[in-house]
Amino acid sequence: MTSHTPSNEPPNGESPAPNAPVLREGPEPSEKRAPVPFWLIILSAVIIFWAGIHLALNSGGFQANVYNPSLVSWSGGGSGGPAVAPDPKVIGKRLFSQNCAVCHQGSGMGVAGQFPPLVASEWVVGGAWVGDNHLVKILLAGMQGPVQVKGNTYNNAMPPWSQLKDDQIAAILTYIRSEWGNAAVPITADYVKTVRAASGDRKDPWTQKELKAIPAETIPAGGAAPAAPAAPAPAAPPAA
Amino acid sequence: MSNDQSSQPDTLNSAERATIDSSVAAPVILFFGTAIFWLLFGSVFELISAIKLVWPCFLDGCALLTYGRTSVVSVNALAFGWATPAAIGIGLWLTARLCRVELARYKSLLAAGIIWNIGTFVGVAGIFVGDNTSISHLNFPGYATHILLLAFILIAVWAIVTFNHRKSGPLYVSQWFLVAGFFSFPWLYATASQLLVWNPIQASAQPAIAAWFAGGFFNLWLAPMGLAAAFYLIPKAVGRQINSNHLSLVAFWSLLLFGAWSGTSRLIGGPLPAWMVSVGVAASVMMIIPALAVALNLHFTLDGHYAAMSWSPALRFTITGVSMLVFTWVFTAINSLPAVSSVTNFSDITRALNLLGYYGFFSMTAFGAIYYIVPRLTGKEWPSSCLISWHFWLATTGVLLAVSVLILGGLIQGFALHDIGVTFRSSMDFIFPFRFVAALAALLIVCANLAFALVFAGLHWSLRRPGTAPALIAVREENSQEPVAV
Repeated sequence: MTSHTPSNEPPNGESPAPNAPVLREGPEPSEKRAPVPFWLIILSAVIIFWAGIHLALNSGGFQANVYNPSLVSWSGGGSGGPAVAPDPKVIGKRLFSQNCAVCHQGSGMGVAGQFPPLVASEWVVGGAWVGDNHLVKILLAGMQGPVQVKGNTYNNAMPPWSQLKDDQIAAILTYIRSEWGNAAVPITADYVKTVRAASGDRKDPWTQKELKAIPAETIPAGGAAPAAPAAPAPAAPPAA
Repeated sequence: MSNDQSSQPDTLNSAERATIDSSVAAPVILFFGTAIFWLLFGSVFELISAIKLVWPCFLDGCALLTYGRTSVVSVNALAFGWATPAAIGIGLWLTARLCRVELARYKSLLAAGIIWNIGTFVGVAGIFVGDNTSISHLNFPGYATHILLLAFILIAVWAIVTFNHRKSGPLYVSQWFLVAGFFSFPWLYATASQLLVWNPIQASAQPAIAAWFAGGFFNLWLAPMGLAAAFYLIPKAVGRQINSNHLSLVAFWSLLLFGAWSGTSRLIGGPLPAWMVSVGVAASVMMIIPALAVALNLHFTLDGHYAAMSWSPALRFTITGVSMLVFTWVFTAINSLPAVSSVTNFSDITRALNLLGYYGFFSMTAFGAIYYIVPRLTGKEWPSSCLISWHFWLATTGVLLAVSVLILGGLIQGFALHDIGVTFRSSMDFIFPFRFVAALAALLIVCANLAFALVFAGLHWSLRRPGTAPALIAVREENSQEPVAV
């Protein structure tokens, strides 16, 4: 027999010589029978108890059509209906910082001489002839040409935002009308829908002169149907 | 499973060990060698994906190298090219050693190894040409999964037949884990492939099965195989008995009971019946029990005998790997709590926990096992203790760095995503510096894997004369009472 057996050859009667790593090996492993620590048993029981309670409280009674466990009691009662809609002001803040803050700034102060402010602006909270319908129309179709805001004249262009959905426009407007000390009533998605329908498919930006020709509507504080004509002006009327 | 120690003497002498080792050497070396190739391949693509996350225009000219393909290729090449064959190689050697029988037909296993790698190659190529199934961990197209399943059935049948012909006495804890793993993988893989890849069921039920498979692949396949290696290597290398077979029983059964259920906790808020998610949460939290049982058992075994960790590569890698498994399970339990996961879901914390489990635990444990097994199969010592040391420190630094920055960044990202007032774009800006460091860590991991591949190739090409001393990565004191443990 040769002194060297290739290690990958199956043994045929002759066992290969043990190599150095095999020779220095210890015995095959075995186990002692030490008891499980008592505190581990207690801790395991606590964990399993917690898991059982969690399952009971959050399983929705193991019904296949319950998706939101917090709306269903442990015995399976309750509706399991849709979650509560989030506050439109919070959504409005996010949409504002995504779309509007570039020009009007996060502070709502605009940029002097370029972009008009939103804080205490008659265009936002309502003025002598400016109503809530004008504000929605500006968002839908944009605005260009000279415009007077809080006594200063701005001459710039605002792009249309008609690609936003009714509830998104409503959220943005509700946000700017209630932030930075502004305190006008919220604008609902239904109201945006009404104004959008009334505007038809107008794509051209409004001018101040065109808007002034449209009678102002104002949403009453109750949030019901808009009333015309405009309420008494909280801010100075724009000198058109 | 009666374990009367007095009736279980060490019946295996060196000559029998050598005979058993030489009978499994060829297939085990085949599995390890190809696994190391896929490890390098997968980690390079992981690095490319990590760079793309911070610098999207990196390699953007080539359709083959878009993020949607590189990241998926890295996950699947690492899961089915590296982790699974490494687990199979370890499992074959451990089965033969623990059952004390020689392997009868090693050629069928060689064939299985070759078929498996053909399947992996076909699967990776399928992803590159655009046949990705888009299901996490099951991205290989259907024509590749058939090949993989065929190869695995050949292997599992061999493992179970060998187990039935065992000459050993009472079962050792590693054998429980091996049998569980060899049964679990075909069950998980065939079920998930049938329901999601071959004949997809209705879409609304698919995420639950995908999550069940992803959880089971780690908890019921890789974890048992890694633990089988740890429960064999650690007591054997330090020459001590496992502290408590009761703790082993607790760890084994709690892992098998809860491991299969834990996957669905990541679906919180998804369009699934509430109980599915809640079962996943309960099971994930209960995984703390096997985590503690494993940690305590191995700690009591090693208590006062940790010294050999400093010089033995096998021990150092294995103990590091098992401790990362404990952290993986504990972090996963915390992360699955609804209050936490509603914030951290969809953040990079998921990436961190995957990395900790797959690389930190499984790859490190497999490295330790390969460092122990291969010298016995080939009769050669590792060629360079310096490279092994580099491998350890690069791998440990890489995985701990990546996991810590991704957890920190993931928390910030998660809170940003959770806050309805913060834009998605801003959440990306917040995570950017953390992803940059994670890409550096991915580079460290590639270097670690390269060092490992070099050591393995050096041993294969006999860069070191036979008969030299074993490779120790630290100086062992002359009068140390501890065994050499390599």
